Amino acid sequence: MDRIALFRQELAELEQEQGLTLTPEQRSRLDAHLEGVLATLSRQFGVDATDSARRISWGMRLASLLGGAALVAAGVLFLHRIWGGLPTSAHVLILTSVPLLLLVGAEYAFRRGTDLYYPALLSLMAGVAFCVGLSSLGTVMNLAPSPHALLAWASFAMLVAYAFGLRLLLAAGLLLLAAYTAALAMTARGSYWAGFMEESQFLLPAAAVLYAFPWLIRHRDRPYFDFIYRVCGAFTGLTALLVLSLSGDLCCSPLGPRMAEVSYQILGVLLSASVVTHGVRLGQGGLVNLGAVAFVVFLYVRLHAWFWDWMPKYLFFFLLGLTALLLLLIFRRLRTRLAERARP
Amino acid sequence: MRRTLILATVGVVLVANAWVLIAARQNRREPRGGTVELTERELRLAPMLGESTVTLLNLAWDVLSEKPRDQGPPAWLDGKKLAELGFDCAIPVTSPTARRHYGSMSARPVFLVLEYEGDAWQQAHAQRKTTTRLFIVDAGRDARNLRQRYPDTARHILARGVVRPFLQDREGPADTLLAVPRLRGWVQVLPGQIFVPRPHSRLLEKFQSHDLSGREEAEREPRFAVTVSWGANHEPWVTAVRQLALETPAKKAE
Repeated sequence: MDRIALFRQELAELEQEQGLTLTPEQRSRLDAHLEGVLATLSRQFGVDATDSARRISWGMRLASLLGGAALVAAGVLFLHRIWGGLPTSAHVLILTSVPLLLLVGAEYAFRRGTDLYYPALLSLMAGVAFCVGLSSLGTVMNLAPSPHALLAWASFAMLVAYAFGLRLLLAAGLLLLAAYTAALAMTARGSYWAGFMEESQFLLPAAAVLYAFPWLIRHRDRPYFDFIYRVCGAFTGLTALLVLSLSGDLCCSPLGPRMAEVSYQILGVLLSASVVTHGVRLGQGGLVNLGAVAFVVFLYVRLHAWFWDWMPKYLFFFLLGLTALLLLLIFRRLRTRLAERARP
Repeated sequence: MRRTLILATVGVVLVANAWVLIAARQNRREPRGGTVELTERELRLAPMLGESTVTLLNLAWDVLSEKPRDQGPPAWLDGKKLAELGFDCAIPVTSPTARRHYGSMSARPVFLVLEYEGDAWQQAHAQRKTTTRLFIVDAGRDARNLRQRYPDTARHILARGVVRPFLQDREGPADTLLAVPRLRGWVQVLPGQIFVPRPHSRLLEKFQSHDLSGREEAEREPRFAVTVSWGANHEPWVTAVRQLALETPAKKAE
């Protein structure tokens, strides 16, 4: 949208300065083409064609977000008030039907409107309602927490994400799926599944699969889904490594705990640098930012382990400042490379 | 394609909710875990949050520690028992790596034996003030074996729970340092809260309060008794609730 607007501005200036003059036929063909592109973008991604429409849309979105949050709060508080007076059959009916009704609402909004914001908002509400509903049903039936709820939530989020092309729900679904695989590994080992974050090595296989998924299957109609897979894979893997680098526990290594910690910290620094490099190569700023944040965190953890105890504190922070300046220089170079890549 | 995906999502919602209902139904087929009438001492009303009308009971239990007059980790949950439950307890407690080894172990799911008004309670009650009469006295990986050892379903409940080891190096209210650390474990019953449905919750409504401190419940005489069954999957449900006649000071003195 922005690029088309810039192109139109540039073209108008060129025509004014007599640098380029289009024939009326060329002009009408170009306008028709640009309008077609704008209409397609608007239909696919729910973006506005003009600045004024964009401003009004933002106002409408904000109002609908606040209104939606208030309506959800009203619904939840009302249910809280009447919940104790309802029979179990009514509990089951309410907890099952609310996410389904919100899902139907999302489908209706998608069919009716051109803006993706409203189906996305309703889908998110349906997802939250399903998560809360399923765990509430477990409480009503006095069941012990089960890891299979993670699979149900992940399936819901991913199916809705693919149905409407929603990034946020896809990310939630992928993270839940990674958590489910780790919970299953914990169960297979005889441990209680809910402690999977303490044994975060079980998250690493899922993280690797998520990161590699776009190489195996490409989302040709939704290329931005490839980015979500990579970000979720990198986030899961780097978080798991960070937890391991602090706890030093390794399920299957002859290394001592200290050596394991150092190995994970070095691995974390190398992996986050690789994510930054890969992000630059793909031209994906989000991946670069994620890798950069992880790089700084791992570096800080390592520097803290090396210097904190014996170095004067002012010198430690001075060293940290110098490291930040060095990183700033590296990122400036990376930004220049990214900008060169983005140029058509 | 979108239509198929939406229908699949509807299927996920229906299957997941049906799964919960089937699991609950299977659990309630047979009260294999035991059926016990507990009082307000063991089942304390969860404080009502905001305008909520939900009735939940918190399961209050205790354990017999090394010194019964003090509260602490269960004395029966020692290194031998933890090894029996599947934990790697090969490293001696005096080893320099013991703290890290035992501190980093994940919790394991087990079956817990909860004894109501049994020897453990009497032993603890003789030495200190105990509010609950429900004591966790054993744990195991196999529910059948435990039931064979504790056959009285009206006194011994078999419930789901988790156990996690730790190295105890201090004990007592004064936090006295032990000469040699001990290997002990923490226990947790799952689920720790029991939902009370209609019509049973009607009787409990008048006792519910917004007090979050829990002091009130701990100090007063029990006002109600709830019959709870633990089913085939060792998960609980309420089968009956009755109001108890409060003891007058004269009656109490007798």
